[in-house]
Amino acid sequence: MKEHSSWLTKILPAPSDNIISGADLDRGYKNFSRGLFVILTVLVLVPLTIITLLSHQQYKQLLQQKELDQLFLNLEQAQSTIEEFVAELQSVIKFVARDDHYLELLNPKELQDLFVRLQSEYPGFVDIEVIDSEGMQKAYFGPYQLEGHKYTDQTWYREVMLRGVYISNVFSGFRNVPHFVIAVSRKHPQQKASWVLRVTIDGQTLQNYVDTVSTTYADDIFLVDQSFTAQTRPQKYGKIGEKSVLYDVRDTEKKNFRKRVVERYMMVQKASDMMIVKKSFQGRQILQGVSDLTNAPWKLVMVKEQYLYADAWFAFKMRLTTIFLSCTIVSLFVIVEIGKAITNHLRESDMKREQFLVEAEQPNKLASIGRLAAGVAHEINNPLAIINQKTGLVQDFLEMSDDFAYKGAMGEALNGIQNSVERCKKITHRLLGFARHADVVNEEVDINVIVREVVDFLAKEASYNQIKITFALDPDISKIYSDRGQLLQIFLNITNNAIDAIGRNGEIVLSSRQLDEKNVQVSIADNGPGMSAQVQQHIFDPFFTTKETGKGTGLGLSITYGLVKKFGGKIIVISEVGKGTTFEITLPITKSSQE
Amino acid sequence: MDAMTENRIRQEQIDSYGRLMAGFAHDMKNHLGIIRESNGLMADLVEMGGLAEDEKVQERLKKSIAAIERRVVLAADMFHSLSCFSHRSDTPYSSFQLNDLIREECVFLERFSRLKQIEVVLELGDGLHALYNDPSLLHHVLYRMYNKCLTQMESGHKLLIITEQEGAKSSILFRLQATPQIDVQQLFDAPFLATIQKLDGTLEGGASTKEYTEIRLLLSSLSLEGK
Amino acid sequence: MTSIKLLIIDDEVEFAATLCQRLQLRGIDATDMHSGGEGLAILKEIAPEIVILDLKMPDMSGLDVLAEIKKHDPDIEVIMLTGHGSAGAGIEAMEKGAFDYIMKPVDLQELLAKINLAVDKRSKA
Repeated sequence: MKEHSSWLTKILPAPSDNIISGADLDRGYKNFSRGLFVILTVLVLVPLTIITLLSHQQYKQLLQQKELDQLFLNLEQAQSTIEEFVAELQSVIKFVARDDHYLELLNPKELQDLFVRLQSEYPGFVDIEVIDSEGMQKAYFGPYQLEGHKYTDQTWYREVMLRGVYISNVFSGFRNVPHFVIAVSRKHPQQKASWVLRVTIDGQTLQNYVDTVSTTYADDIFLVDQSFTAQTRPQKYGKIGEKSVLYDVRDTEKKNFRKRVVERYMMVQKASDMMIVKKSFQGRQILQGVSDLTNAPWKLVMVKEQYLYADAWFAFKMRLTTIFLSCTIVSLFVIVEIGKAITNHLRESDMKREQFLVEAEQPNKLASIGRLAAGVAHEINNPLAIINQKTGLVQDFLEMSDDFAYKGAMGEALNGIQNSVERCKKITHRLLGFARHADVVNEEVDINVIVREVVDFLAKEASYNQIKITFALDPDISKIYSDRGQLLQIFLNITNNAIDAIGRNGEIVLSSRQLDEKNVQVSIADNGPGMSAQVQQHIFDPFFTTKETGKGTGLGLSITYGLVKKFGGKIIVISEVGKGTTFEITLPITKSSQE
Repeated sequence: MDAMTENRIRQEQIDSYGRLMAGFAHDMKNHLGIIRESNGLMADLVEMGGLAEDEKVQERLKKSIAAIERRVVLAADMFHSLSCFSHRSDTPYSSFQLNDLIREECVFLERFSRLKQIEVVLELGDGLHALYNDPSLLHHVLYRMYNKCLTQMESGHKLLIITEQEGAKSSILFRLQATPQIDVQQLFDAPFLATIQKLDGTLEGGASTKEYTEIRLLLSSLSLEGK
Repeated sequence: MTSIKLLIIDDEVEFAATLCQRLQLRGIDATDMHSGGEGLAILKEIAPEIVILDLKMPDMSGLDVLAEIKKHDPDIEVIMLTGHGSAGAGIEAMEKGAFDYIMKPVDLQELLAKINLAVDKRSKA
């Protein structure tokens, strides 16, 4: 106990080496129970909390990564879809504006035919015009009266001449509806210069494209131009034709994010013009993915509210909390129970130990009684010796003196005294013999002596009941190595039983014989009423008694049986109703066979 | 064989010894009765037939008869104590007077102190409450304490046994003359201390001076709500 | 025949005195002393042939007194008095030079027989 570290000893109840009152002990157990509870709670809750936090963190990262991947994929898909749409528009326009069509298209009828055909396929086409190499409009078909426009100095015209294709931002212009323009330049069939076919397309077309790609995944998707003016209608973040509301919002986490995306998508070439940033808008955490379109002057913006607002995260948090709480509750319950069980167990074993200690004192008690008995025997010896001597002295005087009237009577009285003293001497001697056995020791014992001592003890009771006790002892029987006191107890119990069984008028025969080299046998036979087979079966059971209630504990024979077993011996009972009972006890001689 | 059975056997043995001692005391009292009667008869005869003898012989006879009478009375007293002592173990729990119990036990303990030449003086206080306890176990405890005290002492010294009532407790004080301080917990082994606890008693070291050292055993007195 | 000189050493005064008286009645020159110390002190003065010695006395054990007596004069024969049940102690005393032992309460005839045997032994020596 002393080896334990101090904190542990502090919570353990004080070992009851010292005499402490029950209240102190109870307090000790209470403290122990409390300490145990705290330690176990910490032991259980700390790892539980760590695991919970770790999984929280881990899942958060996983979700972040996942939503990033998702956003990236969605953005990529949307981008390529829109790019395809735009490319299709471009190629249709390029196709109708074949180099040699210039002259044909100058014809309004031809142009109208073409436009009607185109519009039947692409209803978003608003008007169409043909512009010559000087920038002068040569032909027009559409709902507006726009003939005769000159575009020479306009930027888009120079651009289309330079690059061969031009796509404008969405604007309202004088048409007053949002629209955009696709213009392609073509070589003049005869001249060296180029001509231009310009198609105005309703902004709704673009909106339709975006609507096609918008998925339930993204919270918002729209196109913006280079200056972040919305080209299509955002659902939440801004209005068409205005700067995106997100444009001014500072990125909360950009570099890391972009880097990570770039790192992850190194293989994808397009990744370079894609950027995903984290932003905080109106108190909500959002992810904004921006991707440049390769064939149009727009950027595709996809907005995704962060995982924090997604069901998965909420469900996860709910589940985690539930698990954590239920684990805590269950473990607290278990800890309390375990604590109770351990404390009770401890209390019980302490009590058992105490009981054991009290029992350990039992042999001492036996010994002290033995010593006291011996003391009594010695003590009585002195007065006896004196009485004996005094009587002897009186006898001497009597012998020396002449006859006188009462000499005979006096001699008788003196003899009576001497006889009594002699008897006292014998009884005292017997008491000493018994007292010696109180010490619990194994020693060499003469079984015949023990049997005689038993009879000494019981002779008086037997004679009161007119029971004759006879011996048939083998004088050459081997001595056995055993505990005298307990051997005595065995024979005492059985002989006592025999006396009780006979009641009055009967005979008990105690005999001993050498059974073989290693065993001796003592039999105690009475001519009492005997026992039925049923009684014989139960005679060695604890608490079995045929005596009337209150007379016997019923423990006698079961203890006898236990003792004989302990000595490595055997006990059997032979009985017949009306004839008597014989107990045969076989005991080994050697010391080793006892174990 | 388990400890419980072993324990039952020991208890049975202890009971046997109790019965044996009681029977012994009874037998001895019978014999002493005979001796006493015979002696009385002799005294009468000497008185009646005295004229026939010469003075001197008669005087010596009378002296011897008186000596026998004294011894018989002494022995009878002792056996009375012995039978009281033995019958204490008849009931596991009973109420008794502490002083009676100590007195009858000391009759037998006296021999141990005499052999060590230690004078034992009883100062049994008045007004002690009755105890309700296991008398035979208390016998044993007192025996052990008495013997332990003797081992701590030297010949020629005096052992005082004082009983007194201290509130709800009866105190048995062993005052050991000219003995150095004793650590009570060290002096006795754990089973013994547990036995004292079973008696609902406490053992403590009392005052210790140059002249003497004390060991005190406190036992709860009989009270109506107890046990 | 000169009377035998005998010393009784026993702490029980009445016992020793009575035994002494009875032996005197039988023509033995007996003296009684009541402790080991006293017994040894008077040893020189009365020069006993035989000592009857109690085994258990408060001041000195009978065995110690026995050793002292044998040191003083090995020819003195000692008969030990023992309580009953302690034959072992008597035998131990015999091993240490006692002539014999006798159990209390003493049977005078037995004691006289032992005294005679002791005297015989001395006269042969």
